[in-house]
Amino acid sequence: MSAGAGPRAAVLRLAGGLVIAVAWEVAGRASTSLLLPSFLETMRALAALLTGGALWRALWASNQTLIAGFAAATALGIPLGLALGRWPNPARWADPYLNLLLVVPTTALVPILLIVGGAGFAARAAVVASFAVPVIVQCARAAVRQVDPRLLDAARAFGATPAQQWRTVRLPAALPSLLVAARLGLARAVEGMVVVELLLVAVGIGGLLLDFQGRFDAPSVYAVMLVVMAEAATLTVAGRALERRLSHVAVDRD
Amino acid sequence: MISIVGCRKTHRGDGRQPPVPVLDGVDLEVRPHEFVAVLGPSGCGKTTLLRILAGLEGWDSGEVRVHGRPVSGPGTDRALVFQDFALLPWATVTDNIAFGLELRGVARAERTAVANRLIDRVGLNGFARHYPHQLSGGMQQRVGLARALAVEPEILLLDEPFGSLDSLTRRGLQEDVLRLHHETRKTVLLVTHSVDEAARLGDRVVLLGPRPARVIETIETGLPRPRPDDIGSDRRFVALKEHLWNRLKALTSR
Amino acid sequence: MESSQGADQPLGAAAPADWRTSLTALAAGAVVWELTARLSVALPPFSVVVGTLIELLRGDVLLPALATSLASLAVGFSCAAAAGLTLGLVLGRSRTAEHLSDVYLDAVMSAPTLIYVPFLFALFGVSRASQVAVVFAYAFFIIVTTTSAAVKQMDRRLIDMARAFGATDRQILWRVALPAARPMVLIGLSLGVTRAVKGMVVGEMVIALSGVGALLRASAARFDLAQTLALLLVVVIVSAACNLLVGRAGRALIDR
Ligand SMILES: Nc1ncnc2c1ncn2[C@@H]1O[C@H](COP(=O)(O)OP(=O)(O)O)[C@@H](O)[C@H]1O
Ligand SMILES: [Mg+2]
Repeated sequence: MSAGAGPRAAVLRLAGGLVIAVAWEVAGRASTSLLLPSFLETMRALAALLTGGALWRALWASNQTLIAGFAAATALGIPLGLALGRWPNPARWADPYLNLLLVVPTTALVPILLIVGGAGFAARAAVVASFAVPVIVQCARAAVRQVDPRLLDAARAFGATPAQQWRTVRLPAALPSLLVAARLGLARAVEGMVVVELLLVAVGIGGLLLDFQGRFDAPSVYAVMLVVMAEAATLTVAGRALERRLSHVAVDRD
Repeated sequence: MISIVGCRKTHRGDGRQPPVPVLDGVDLEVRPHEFVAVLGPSGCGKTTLLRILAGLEGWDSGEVRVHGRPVSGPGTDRALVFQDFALLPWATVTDNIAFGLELRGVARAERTAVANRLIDRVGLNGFARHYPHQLSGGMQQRVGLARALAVEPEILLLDEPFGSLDSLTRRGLQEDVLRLHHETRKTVLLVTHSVDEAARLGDRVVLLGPRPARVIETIETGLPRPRPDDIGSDRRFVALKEHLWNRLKALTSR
Repeated sequence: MESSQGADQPLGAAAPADWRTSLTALAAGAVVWELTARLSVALPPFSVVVGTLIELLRGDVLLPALATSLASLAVGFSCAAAAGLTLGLVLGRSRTAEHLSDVYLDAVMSAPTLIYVPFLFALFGVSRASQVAVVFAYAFFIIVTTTSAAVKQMDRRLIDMARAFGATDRQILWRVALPAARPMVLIGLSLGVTRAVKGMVVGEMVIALSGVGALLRASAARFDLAQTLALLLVVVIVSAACNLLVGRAGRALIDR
């Protein structure tokens, strides 16, 4: 689903938002549950959050974990994926484990990681990284596999050394897919961050959420949810934009 | 059999693209059992003309009649052979050939019998259970041809059926189509941008101008039926090609 | 559309390596695990984990919990598949419906599903219904987007071909559109069921009411590594079995 496509589409998108807002407002008012606030209440709570300092402090705390974890995941996952893609034969032995990691709910592994590592900053970052690593490895590996063998043949024919082959052919050809790897990894890292916060140690956003939940301040709970959604969506959009700018080959996987 | 008088058609753009006038008053008459080759430069509107005849799209003004009745949709009296084959990738050769019969609710045993006869006829023996991607381009188009023949149409509409084949395969299929026309006396309307193909196959060649298309000239080829194998060296054939070439060049070099 | 939900199986999952290599690799892994665990104390050996699993299967805790989990999974995933396929079909065919919803679906999908659990609590309370709803939420969106993409990418030329041979709208849907969309729809369903299993475990871990996820959380809280790992094995087996089952069922359903 791509954005764009004319004024009619823009009007329809606005209309869709309006429908959601109105439905939410009506449902919120009709419901007697304390837990389902109306749209306007939530917007007021959101405004209060955005103008206060607590939200920003919490975001900063959570995002430190995110940044550290994501950086670690990239530093580990991309070289590993490249190596697996370059040497497919030994990589076959890693296949069942990679598939396993992609299928097992990482969340279920988290308690074990914490048993082993504790709940400090490093351990939390490690959890975030563990969410992102499998998908990054998988994508990076695919990126190398997709490199057109004719380009490599050409490089070899001109006498390129292995190092030169990497620099002049493999890495440039793999770059667009590596960016995809990073974007997907980032999305997973955000998931890891939320899991850490909600299930384990509520330092930032999760703390805020639990706090509001404890005070039955439902509008604020929803407002925090919207903030996390906004952050995730922004990161995704920014990632896609970066991909488009940096890749000389148009890769449209959406 | 087919009668087109003053047919006009403009492809309406979808808001962002401007409308494209394609047919600018085309007149065309095809008599029963006749083989008519419509020759025109790429993009002049040949496919559009055939799709109108096949009942896949409408036209803006003028008359398009088959058997004296205005075309109002696809009909069992016409069968179209597509330039890009349009075979169902998930169906075997047999099932692809029998597709039209299946749509008409013909029982499986009977369909298979018809398909087997046609497989024999178009020279695909031993490939009944193959899938399209396992066949060469020429073989795929034989399937397309057999699929059209299976519904026993009176009129065959051929849309540059050999355009994407290598010259040897193309020549083989052209001879098959000639033989088929000779044996079955079906009415054939072929569109092509190849001067050689039009001259080689048609009883009559109808020359279209560049977009928006109009009939520039209609030529009775006067070449013998059945066509001898050495038609290529026939003086009338060579002269006809020369003439068509010159007309085409004059039309497109503006 | 690609987002956290599509992340499970990027660029076509790892090639289905031949199963003999895979089995050997897994067996080798088990041996290495066993040996390292016997040398250090932090990790229970593989044999102990398997022993714990057998014990759990004999006891009367795991099986009822598993039954509960599978029931939530079945209900949640079936609803997600039915609703997701329908909505995906609509979004794939109607430009208007697509534009009405794409921005919002994109936003909802780019955030981790777990963040919506408080909202599901609000609707369903601390109950089995909440656990089912989490399963649904995990599976639903990926099925919607893959289905709509499958329908949108469909080869128009094949539809034209079918019409030229006189196919009715119904025939086009069943003989051309669905078979053409089939590979991607099946991928969507299998991504969906993988995510549904994740949702099942995660939902039960968060809600901690019943099911395998609740057991997992409890055993981790007790620092009982052997049991935690044994339960993980159960999850892996469930996930693999579901993938197989959905693949079979999907093929049988769509193949006519
Ligand atoms: N559905 C359509 N909408 C807009 N323009 C079209 C459409 N179909 C074809 N055209 C345009 O009409 C012209 C004629 O197309 P076509 O009939 O396919 O030509 P030909 O088969 O002779 O190469 C081309 O310029 C093409 O771009
Ligand atoms: Mg054409």
